[in-house]
Amino acid sequence: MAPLKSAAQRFAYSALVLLSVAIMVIGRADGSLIEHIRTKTNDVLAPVLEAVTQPVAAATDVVAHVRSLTELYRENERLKTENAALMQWQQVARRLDNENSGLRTLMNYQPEGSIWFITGRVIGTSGGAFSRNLLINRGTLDSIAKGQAVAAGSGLIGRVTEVGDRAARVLMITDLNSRIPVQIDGNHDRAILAGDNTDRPQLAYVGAHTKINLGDRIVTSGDGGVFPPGMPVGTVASIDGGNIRIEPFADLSRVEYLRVVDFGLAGVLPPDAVPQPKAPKRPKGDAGKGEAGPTP
Amino acid sequence: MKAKPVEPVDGIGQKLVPAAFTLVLAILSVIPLGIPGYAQVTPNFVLMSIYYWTIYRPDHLPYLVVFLVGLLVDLLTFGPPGVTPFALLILRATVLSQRRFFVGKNFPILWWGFAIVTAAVTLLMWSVGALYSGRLLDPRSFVFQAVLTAACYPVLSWAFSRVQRVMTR
Repeated sequence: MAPLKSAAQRFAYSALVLLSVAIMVIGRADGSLIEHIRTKTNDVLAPVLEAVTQPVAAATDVVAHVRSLTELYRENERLKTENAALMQWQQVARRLDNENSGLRTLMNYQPEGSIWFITGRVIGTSGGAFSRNLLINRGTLDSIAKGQAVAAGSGLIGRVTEVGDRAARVLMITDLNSRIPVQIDGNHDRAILAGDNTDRPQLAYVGAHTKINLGDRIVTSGDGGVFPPGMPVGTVASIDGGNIRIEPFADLSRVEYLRVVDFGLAGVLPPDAVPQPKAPKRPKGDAGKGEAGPTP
Repeated sequence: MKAKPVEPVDGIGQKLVPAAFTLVLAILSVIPLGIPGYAQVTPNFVLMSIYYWTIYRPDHLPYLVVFLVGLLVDLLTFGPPGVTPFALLILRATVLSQRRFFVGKNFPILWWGFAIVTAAVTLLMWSVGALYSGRLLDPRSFVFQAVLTAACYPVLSWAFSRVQRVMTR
């Protein structure tokens, strides 16, 4: 009995190792099959992950609350000053908005597709050193589609790369496979923001005559039609010869809530890579959720 | 005599414990904890579980379970598919072959063994991952992850041993 069992074990071992290698080869050759399985798995596990992350999020909130209580006074002072400054900016924005709409009428300008966003919660991380990505609790049921931009706080986080019914995968701008067309704010010089699994993505394909200084703002260029132009990405943090590093505006190491933004751009992604949601594109009113809605 | 009718259930329950533990740890390792940078250096809990149970209850954690959990990890973490099951299967086979040496040894030796195993698995995953993506991956996060994994082992090992004691009571 024992030798038979050990033979069976050895067979199982060899078969499974071979199967693993086969999966590696298949995954390398045909990404869509693996992607399909992955999406299904994430869909099934999304409710579990959501349930487990809830108490963790609550605990983190409590810690944040206690911390903010101790700094209440200083925070309040800071916010007052900031508010005063922002009120001024609001005036400026209103005036510019008026001026813009006036000029648009003059020019007979066709506005770009309206923008809407939906808020999602992070329910899974990469949990390892291989990649930089997030799993969020929104999917095709919430009108999420591949290619949509994802932002948190004040900057771009990444884009949606895989969508299931209930969950979607966000490839962060720091991931090895992330390439985002960007420009230097102000002088409109183009470059590509290339992630390499470090905290600061690299600015690649910079023109020979481009002048870049520390602290320059980097925004999306809109080339390729995936992202709209002008989304804030980060600032130039270090220049070491040709190695230019960007510090993202968004705190990528600790994202809890994020916005998936749809600009109605399908971009240069192949048609099959951008499945059109079967449901009506805009969530109708979305009264139940109360967190999605068109932005002005 | 009294406890007899419960025994079969206990038997199945006992058999499932190592697999269930490994599965739960696989899911827990992708939970965001709100600690900056944690996602990249999350300790490899699955590795600890497989190491422990391969030494103490290899019969309850067969190759198939190891393979499936590894695959789940790859699907959950967006890593290159197949790399984790491959590494974990080799880990189980290696530890199983050295099992006689480990059983009955005191904890520092087991810990030392785990540290070596972690280093080997990390190196394996890093090189297969680099081969897979065709690029050299930044080794720093891998090293940090390995160090954290080895450092966390005593805690998990203690927890496993408590569970095992309850199981065999």
